[in-house]
Amino acid sequence: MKSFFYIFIVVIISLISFIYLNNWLSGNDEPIKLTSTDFIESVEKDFKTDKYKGLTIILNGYVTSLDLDNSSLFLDNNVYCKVLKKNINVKVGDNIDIRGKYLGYDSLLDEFRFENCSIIN
Amino acid sequence: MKLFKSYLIFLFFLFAHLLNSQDRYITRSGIIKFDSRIESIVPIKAVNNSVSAIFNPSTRDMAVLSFIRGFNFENSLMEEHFNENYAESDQYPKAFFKGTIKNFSISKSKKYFFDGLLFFHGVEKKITNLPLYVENKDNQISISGVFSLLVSDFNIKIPKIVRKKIPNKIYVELNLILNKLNK
Repeated sequence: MKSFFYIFIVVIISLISFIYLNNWLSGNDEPIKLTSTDFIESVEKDFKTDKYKGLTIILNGYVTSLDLDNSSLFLDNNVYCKVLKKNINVKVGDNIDIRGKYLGYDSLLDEFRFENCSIIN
Repeated sequence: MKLFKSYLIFLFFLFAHLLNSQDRYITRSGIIKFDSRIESIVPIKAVNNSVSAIFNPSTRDMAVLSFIRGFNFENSLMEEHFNENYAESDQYPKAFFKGTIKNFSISKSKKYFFDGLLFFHGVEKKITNLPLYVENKDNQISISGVFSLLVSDFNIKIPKIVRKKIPNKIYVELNLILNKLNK
């Protein structure tokens, strides 16, 4: 009876560890989702830290301009996204979700730079 | 009359500003490559295709900004080492050059010399006579050239064990194609 209790405890601890580790590992791969205006507001609060730099983020926003020659677009005027795919199948005014790596705030051109972007919808 | 004078002064400043902004050329997709030029199984070279730059031919000022995390290596492990151990890109995320071109004439495409300041890895280094080729063609200005930098000038310490693989001198290639600003 005592050995059965010990086995039960070991199984429970293993199960909890597995769930915790699994959540932790998959949680790291999940990119942050934000609207571009919330993103800008959050970065502007603390330019010095620029806490999202180097991270992959999914942004939602309106396409305000397109540059097909350079495979790039602007979301809500200030977010510059360089798209991986050559053919960008969106138009100005579209509301899109875009996934990309945030490089940082470009103080020279006053814009937020994303690279390796892909349009999700 | 006084009001008219004020109006003229206002117009002068307005047009001066407009002319100034019309004169500017910008890019968001400039290229900076660096290469150790040392033969090894895994060559130390990287490229950044997202360099931004502004050039104003009338004031002869140029500014170039590149994100350190924008440098892509062939080997992802090398990229990680570069960002974490050498360039420390979380602490110093940008490299920045601010300079002026000497004896510039927009109609002459040739090699010019730039003087300015280069900010990288928390260090500000004075640069003089940086040779770059400037070409004005079809409403675009291209600025390109190759120069070398010393890693030791930027407070980057290379451990003794890898000194043979990572030389102190790094060759940098710059290629900017700037378009007239429409914004």
